[in-house]
Amino acid sequence: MSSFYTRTGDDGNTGLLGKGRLPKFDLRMETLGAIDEATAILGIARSLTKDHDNKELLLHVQRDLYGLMSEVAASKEEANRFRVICADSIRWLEEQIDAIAQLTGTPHEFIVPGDCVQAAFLDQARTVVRRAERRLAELLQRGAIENHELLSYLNRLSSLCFVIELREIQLAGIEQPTLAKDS
Amino acid sequence: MNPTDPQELVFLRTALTELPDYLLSSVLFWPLSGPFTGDLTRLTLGNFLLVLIRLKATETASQYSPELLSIQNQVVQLKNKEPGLWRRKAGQEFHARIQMWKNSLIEMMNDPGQCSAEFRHAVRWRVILELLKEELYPETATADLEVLQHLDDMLRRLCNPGQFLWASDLEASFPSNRFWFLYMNI
Repeated sequence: MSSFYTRTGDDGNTGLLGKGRLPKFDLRMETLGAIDEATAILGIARSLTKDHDNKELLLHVQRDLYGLMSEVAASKEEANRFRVICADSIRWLEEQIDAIAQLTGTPHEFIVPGDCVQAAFLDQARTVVRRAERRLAELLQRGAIENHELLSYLNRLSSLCFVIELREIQLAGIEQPTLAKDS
Repeated sequence: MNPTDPQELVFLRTALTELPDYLLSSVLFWPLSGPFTGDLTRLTLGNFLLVLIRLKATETASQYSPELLSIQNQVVQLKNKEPGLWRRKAGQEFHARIQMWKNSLIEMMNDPGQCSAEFRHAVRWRVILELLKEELYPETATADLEVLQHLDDMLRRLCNPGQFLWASDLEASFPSNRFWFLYMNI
């Protein structure tokens, strides 16, 4: 049998890291799916950006998300063993946000995405991270996971996606992002 | 905090190779590539110093001791070579950790039910602050040192003396006169 498929999920269930199986429509699977989707879109943005610092940064984030997914996919008893997101990871994101915001400034109005392709993908990633954050918040509330730092991480990550989007627009030579209001 | 594990030595090895670049960079919570989990996914001076002292405490007589001594010597050399960078970084981390510790204490005060478990984890930051205190330029950290004093007063009001919080084989390296907060219970 090919190692690209296992047939074990054909009954509509999927395994946790640790003991237990869940339906594929379970909230935990929805959360994992959203994080997976965000990682993929960040990959598109990484492949498109020409800026070395942004490339590196996005790769770090993708690796963090890979670790974050392991923790979310782990059973409650096993979660600690897979924990890679801690308070320092969140502080690192905040550092990156502050450093990039110093270069870009902060727009005082809402913007519409689409000024350049990599920035548009970063905006899409931001919205998917937000969705993952909403799903994770529900998991936390239900007590299915316990590490609140995962939620903080996703929250800061959506802000990071936004400032990198601004930076990409700036690097593309566009003077200012297109504003949502038609003035 | 759990007893030391093999990951801590791997952390030190990896971190040591990245320390010179780390000192030169503007990043404070430096991502480390490797199989690290828990609180060891980022290099900071505080994390590095904490792991070093923890490993030295538990492994003095083991096969790792010569390696640890070598790591410690390399750290001293680096510190002597770049004292300004070292102290500046220590001061920056001290400032950041003060905020983390402060937020954590406020949360504990607001949610007494979760206090005990939260304290056992967060006290790690107070230990790091203690270690960093020795590394920074005190004259540039006056305000932060004052904040720490206030937070310590707050903690003393919140806690009672108790057993050493970490594994007993670490106790000798964290004496109660200096690391009094490791001998407290909420």
